[in-house]
Amino acid sequence: METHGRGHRGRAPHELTPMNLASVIRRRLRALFRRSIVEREMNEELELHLELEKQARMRAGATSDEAHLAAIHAFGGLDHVKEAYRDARGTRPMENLIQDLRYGVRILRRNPVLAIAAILCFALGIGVNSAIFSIVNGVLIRPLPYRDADRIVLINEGLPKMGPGMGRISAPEFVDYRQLDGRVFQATAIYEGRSFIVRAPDGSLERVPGAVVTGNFLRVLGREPALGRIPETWLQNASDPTASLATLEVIVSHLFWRTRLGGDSTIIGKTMPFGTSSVATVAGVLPPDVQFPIGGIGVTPAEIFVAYELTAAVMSRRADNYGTWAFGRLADGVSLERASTEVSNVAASLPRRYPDFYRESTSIVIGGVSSLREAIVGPVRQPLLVLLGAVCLVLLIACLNVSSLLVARSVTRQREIAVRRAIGATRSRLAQQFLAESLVLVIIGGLVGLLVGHYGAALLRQLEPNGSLNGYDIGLDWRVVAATGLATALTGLVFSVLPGIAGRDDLQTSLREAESRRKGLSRSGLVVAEIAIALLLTVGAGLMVRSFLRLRAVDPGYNAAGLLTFRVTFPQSRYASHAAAIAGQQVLAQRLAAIPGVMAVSSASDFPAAEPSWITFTLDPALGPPPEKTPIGSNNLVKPDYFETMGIALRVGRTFNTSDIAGREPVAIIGETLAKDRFGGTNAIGRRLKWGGPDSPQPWRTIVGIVSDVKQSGLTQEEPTPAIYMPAAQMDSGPVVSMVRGQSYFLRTAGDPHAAFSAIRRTVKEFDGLMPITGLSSMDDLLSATIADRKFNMFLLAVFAAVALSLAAVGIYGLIAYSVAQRTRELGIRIAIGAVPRDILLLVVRQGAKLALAGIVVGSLGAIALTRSMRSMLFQVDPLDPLTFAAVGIALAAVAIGATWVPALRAARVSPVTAMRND
Amino acid sequence: MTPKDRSRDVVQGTLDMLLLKALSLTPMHGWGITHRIDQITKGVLTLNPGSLYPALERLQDRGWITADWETTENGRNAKYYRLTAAGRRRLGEETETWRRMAAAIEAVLRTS
Repeated sequence: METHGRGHRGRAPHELTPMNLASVIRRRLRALFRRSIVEREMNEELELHLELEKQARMRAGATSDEAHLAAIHAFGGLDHVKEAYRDARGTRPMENLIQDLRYGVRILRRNPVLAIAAILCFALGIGVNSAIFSIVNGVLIRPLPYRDADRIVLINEGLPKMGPGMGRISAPEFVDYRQLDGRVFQATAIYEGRSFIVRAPDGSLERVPGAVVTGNFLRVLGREPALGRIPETWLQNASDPTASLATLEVIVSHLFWRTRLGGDSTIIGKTMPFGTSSVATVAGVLPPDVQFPIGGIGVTPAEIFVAYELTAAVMSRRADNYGTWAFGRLADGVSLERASTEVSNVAASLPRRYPDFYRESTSIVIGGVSSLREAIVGPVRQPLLVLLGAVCLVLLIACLNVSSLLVARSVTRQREIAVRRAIGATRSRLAQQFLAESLVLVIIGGLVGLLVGHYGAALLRQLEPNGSLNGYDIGLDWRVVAATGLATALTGLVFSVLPGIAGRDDLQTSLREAESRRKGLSRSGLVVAEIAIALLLTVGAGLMVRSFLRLRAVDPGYNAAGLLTFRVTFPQSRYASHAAAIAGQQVLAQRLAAIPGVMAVSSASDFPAAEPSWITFTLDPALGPPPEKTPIGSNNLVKPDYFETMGIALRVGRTFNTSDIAGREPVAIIGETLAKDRFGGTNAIGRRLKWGGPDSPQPWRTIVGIVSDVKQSGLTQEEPTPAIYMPAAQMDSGPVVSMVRGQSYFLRTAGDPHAAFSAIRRTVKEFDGLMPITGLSSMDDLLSATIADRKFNMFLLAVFAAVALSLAAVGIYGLIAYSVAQRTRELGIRIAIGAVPRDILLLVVRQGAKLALAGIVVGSLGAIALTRSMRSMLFQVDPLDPLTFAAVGIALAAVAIGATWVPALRAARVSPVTAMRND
Repeated sequence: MTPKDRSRDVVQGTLDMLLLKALSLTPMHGWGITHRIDQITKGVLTLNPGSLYPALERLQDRGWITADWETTENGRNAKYYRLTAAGRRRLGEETETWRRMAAAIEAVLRTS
């Protein structure tokens, strides 16, 4: 029925006006926080009402008792009234929540095992996963710090006659690729890594990693300097890379600016010491997030960028030196394929345009482009994805665990639920209560998990062997934590609310043994899944451990014990001639030999445990026609006692001695693999080979010795390198003379090599005050560093496996414990009719063992299917290694039985009387 | 709003009006209000405590009445409710609405 004309009074009854909002809030708060007082007031008021009603009836003539009864009758049920009164206070929802939370805490306190188990699962699940995922996030997923990074490509080249494809270009070729600017590329640039000498704050000289780049480099990256701008000389270089530049203007990285220039905001335009005796003008500072190359395992970002002048000397080495990286930014609308075709056309035209340079082995050049992101992320992707897979698996286990525990608990409360529903609780109220209880678990578990995640990530970053994760932005990513926490919480909540909602309406059936077959099966299924996943992870970790141990035991081909190394350069400015450099190196060697504890000293041009210098060479024509593929090998220019100092075994012939100098017969020593492949073994002695192509100006060298193979790139190298050694003293002409100026010294010490470090620094400083030392390290440390990333991966995977195992153990324990609690009556009966404790023990253990067996079988099948994807990460270990599978299977069985043991023991000690009473 | 809600509101609104009217004369405690209304209507309307007290809470929420603990003549502690200025205004509005409605219904009934 409508009422008309209500006008402004047409407000809904429950609408709040500003005026009474304050009073409402006041009253609600009072009802919440002064609950006992408010209750007392209500009781007093109602009691008075009852009393007065009674008195009124007595006045009307009833007796005391009659009046009392009538009054109560008129009241309509005291508790009912109280409830209505309370409801009207409006704090009911809040009160319910608080009550439920309190109740939840009480329940958990009564079952501390459940609480601790669930909280542990949450903590491990959330914490470990967010720590690891934040690393994956920072390394793989985070965008590259360049504008539209997907438009940046790598310009590659390959020579069909050369062995492995190089992927880099020869610097002079840049002038040809540059011609594609405007049509195919917005800008192109080249890059070569260098190390530069700078002055440390204390005045001593140091080398820092840097690079020479052409002027358009930052344009290719699409970023501007944060301080300063791209200098004039760079713009000159961009338009003509062969122009000579008047001044040395550099751009530095943010890290360099912060640590070595003191974060000086007025640095732009000022000069800083550069090289041993000159200066450079600081023209720009990069933004903090820009790194090139991206820091990673084994890669250090450049700190100083210098313009790359393509001088006549550089240009003369066209097709002779492939060590330059070339990049381009695709022009708008140009696809990767089209750019690749264009580059390929340019590359194919090079031998035609410059016939004098491209001859023989370099007569065909192949070109193409590939995505920069792929080049950076590609090598790291697989191990990180494996780790990510592990992360997800562990999270899954944690969720399954919590669900399983909560479901198990809800089953034991079936009776409680039934009774509460019988006296009037609604489904939604029960669901609310279960929700609140789970909320308590989730909140506590989540807080602990966050702590674990935070400290875990910090710990991991510290433990990472190369410290290379410092280049990445790996904070505990709140997105990660939130997502993980949400997923875990959702599962937990869903699984805990279900029993409340799905509780049976029929009181009778609920009061009877509530464990339905279906529920029991699904719970067991959850635990079996956990065990399977734990097995999978542990097998993976086990394979990695075996692989790493194998790797560590690899013989590098030389005796690394007691060996140390460092690198110095003898620049032309202080050692004008080749002879002067050689003589200087000799003097330094003698001085180093004089240090107490040093037993042998030698040096060589190549860096140890690093990518060797590759050369092409030509074989003795007397051996027959030249082979199809141009032979390549590693080249090392060494001093006479090199092999003895390093402990490299001589197989045939002799090593270099002091008579192998300039002016004498040119000689060479080769590795045994090269000897076998090219010369048929020992027949190599007396044969000749020459550095470069058949027309190379290098002299023919006679092979005087064959030595054992050396793992030059580090322990992971599987195929032996074809190795050539030449005496440094004989390399006195040609463009390669500069190679001998950089020398890696090797010292063999008695005792710990580290003890000699300070003496070495002192000796070098006294020898030449302007000579910086780089890479001073014991050989063992250096070799360890080359396999450090695998060690780290192994460590991570092992952590995951351990976590998965713990979670699985908790899961089994929880399940068996609650199963025992459910079966208390049955077990009591068994004991009463004659079972001995041992029988009960075996009964329970058998239950756990069945689960474990199922899990192990399923897990093994999964492992067999999945570990083959790890093949590239393993070293000489078969992904289906039977030893690892067997060991892990046994270990998991032991853990499972162990987890079953405690509840089994408790079951065996059950007194039959208590059991039967405990209904 | 469903028809059930509307009728509940109408009943609630009427109850509120009666309570406000009862309190417009003097402040009273809960039983006093019941007794007064019982007397005036000669037993036709009896307020059940289960409806009375929640209604009093609601009226306090809306700011139309306030409550204070005072002592009765017999020296007992009781919660006395009194009308506020806003409550007095509301009472006037509700009374007017009721009278108009009653007149309208009466008019309809008279025609047949």
